[in-house]
Amino acid sequence: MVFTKIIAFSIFQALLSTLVAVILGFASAYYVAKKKSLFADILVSFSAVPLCVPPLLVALGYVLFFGNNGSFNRFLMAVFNLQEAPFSILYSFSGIIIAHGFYNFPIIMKAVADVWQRLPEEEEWAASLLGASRFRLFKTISFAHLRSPLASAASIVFLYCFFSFIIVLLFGPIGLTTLEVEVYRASRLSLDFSKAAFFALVETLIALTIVYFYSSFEKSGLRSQGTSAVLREKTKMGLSSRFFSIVLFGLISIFFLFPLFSIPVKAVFTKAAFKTVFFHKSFLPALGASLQSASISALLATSFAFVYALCIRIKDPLKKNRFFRFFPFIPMAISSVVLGFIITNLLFALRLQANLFILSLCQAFLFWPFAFRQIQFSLDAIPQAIDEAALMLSPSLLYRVYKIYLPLLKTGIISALSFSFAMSLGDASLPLLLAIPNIQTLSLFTYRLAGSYRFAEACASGSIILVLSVFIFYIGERQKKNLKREKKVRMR
Amino acid sequence: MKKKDAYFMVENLKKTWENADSAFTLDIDFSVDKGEMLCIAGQSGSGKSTILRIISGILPFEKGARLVLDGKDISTLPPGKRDIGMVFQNPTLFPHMRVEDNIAFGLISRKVAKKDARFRSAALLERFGLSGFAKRYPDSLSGGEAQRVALARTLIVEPKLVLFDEPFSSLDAPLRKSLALDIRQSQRELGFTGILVTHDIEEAKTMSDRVIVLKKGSLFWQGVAKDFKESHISSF
Repeated sequence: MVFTKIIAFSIFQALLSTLVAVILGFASAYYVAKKKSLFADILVSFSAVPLCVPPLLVALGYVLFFGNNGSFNRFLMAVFNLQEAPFSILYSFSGIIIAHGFYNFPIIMKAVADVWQRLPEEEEWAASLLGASRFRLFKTISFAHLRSPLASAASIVFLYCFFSFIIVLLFGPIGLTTLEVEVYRASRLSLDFSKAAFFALVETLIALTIVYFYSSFEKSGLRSQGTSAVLREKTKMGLSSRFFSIVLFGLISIFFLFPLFSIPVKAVFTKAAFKTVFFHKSFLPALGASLQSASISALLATSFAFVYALCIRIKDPLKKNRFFRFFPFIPMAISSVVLGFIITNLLFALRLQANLFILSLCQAFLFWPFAFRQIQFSLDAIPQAIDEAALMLSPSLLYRVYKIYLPLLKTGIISALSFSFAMSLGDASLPLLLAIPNIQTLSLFTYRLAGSYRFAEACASGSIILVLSVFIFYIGERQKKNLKREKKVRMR
Repeated sequence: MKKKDAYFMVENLKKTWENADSAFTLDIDFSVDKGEMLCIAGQSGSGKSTILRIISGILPFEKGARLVLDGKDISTLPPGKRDIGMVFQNPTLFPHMRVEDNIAFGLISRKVAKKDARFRSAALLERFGLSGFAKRYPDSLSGGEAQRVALARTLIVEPKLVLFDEPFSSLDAPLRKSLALDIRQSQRELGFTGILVTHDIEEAKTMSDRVIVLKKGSLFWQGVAKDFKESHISSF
């Protein structure tokens, strides 16, 4: 494939996937923010999936559910008495788009719904008293507030899809490939390092542009932010919204829920799948390596995020310096495959070998923007007056940090730790790229099981990652809820 | 209390509601003459703001009530069709729009050409001493400036009735007084009919012609503004 075609395809598939995620996410956000229903409650529970469920498991779920011998096709064959599998989206362009779109829509949903349900009612009243029609009310008032969170969430989804590696690698169609996959192939398989470097550079420059837009959207969001701390009252569903909710729920179930559920179901209902995994000689070392690297990377990412967030709070309390705000997001422009390629070359030049600490260091670098956001969110809840009081009453900066900021940022720190831990745990790309001698993480172990078509064992191992990630993520989310409560109390 | 030929009439207005520690029923009839400014006073939770929200169409009311404005029954009309403007406690300016776009919003909603809407918006800005503010965003305005812009935004569509829901509650005392005088002067100059909700005696006297006092949703006292005293509110 010519390199311009690879670039075009990478951007095109990411754009299309983002469009699918935006449509689904916006429709879901409407139900979450405005409607009182069980469907809305179920949607809310999906919010964390893109962050705590690794893409490897999504790919695995799709293979299990939509494969020729998957549950969906077997169901269709039984119902319609067919001889061959009728539904085939794997190993196709549409398969990639659907998997990306459905996997990432909760990011859009959460970002938009969070603002939508807090839009100040009085602005809408004022607009309707001034004669605005329902469409104009939505376009000029509601959507104006939702535009920034929508654009910044869409930028994140675009980046995720642009950097998507495992999903494209596992079931991308023959002849179509992305920059991310090509960097991997050139650096690990064909060993064409100049080609890999070129693709890595192009990919990073494109991503850097998106990250720049992302940070601008975040900034412009400040002006149009909803001012109300109170959640809007939700209304009951009418006939038309009930109909659309059924259609939406049907689509989400088929392309998102059932594939994910297939993983634990396959593991549980395959005889001795868990037993085989537990007694596999690589399992316990892989679990140990995963826990070790995830702990170290979470600690590093959170510590750096904490120090940086505090520094810019002290140096730039009024948030005027644009670079200070942009800097933390720079790592988002570098994919795990590109980072893996850079580090591998660096280690080669230095005649060193990759080890678990280097893996943790790389993961900390990649995930620290997420840790930073958690701490920043927590820091924003502290009124400026507290900074001033702390400055006047504390004998030293260290004392201030220890006595004031650490206790006040406790919830943000725990949330950042859990975020980066869960993300590191699910990362299979970096361990694959770094290829640490004699060491593999649980994600890599799962990837290799799936690669050798041992799907039941891969599902058992994947389920363990899933349970661990969801549990750790749940702890972080609970902390965030506590923080929101604290924020409300401080506002009173 | 209610005149048959009044410009604005509220008949049989009933609504039951609950607040933190009690539940009571709003039950009131009143009218406002053309060009008059009526003040509805009362303690917190007496139902003052609820009346304005019902009149504007934001809140529904119980069956049997009738709202008549300039001879037309507006009870079932949506808020945008009632020809009523409202100035809220907070300025509620649209934060993502420039001052001129905020003011022109109502005209553009009524399909007035953008150019004409901007022209009229500039004239009103001048009227309220905000000529240099057209291109600014609401977050760069002081509380008093923002409330003036909100007033201009309400008046630009020339509503038949303007509702003021404690419009100065977020401002400090000297600013409240100057803005109250300003609104009163505009009301006399432009001749609009208004209803002001407040619990401030001075404000009521400065801004209105007539006062009605509510106690738990019912009429407690009424009279001309100059006779309104502290005891009418505090004797509850």
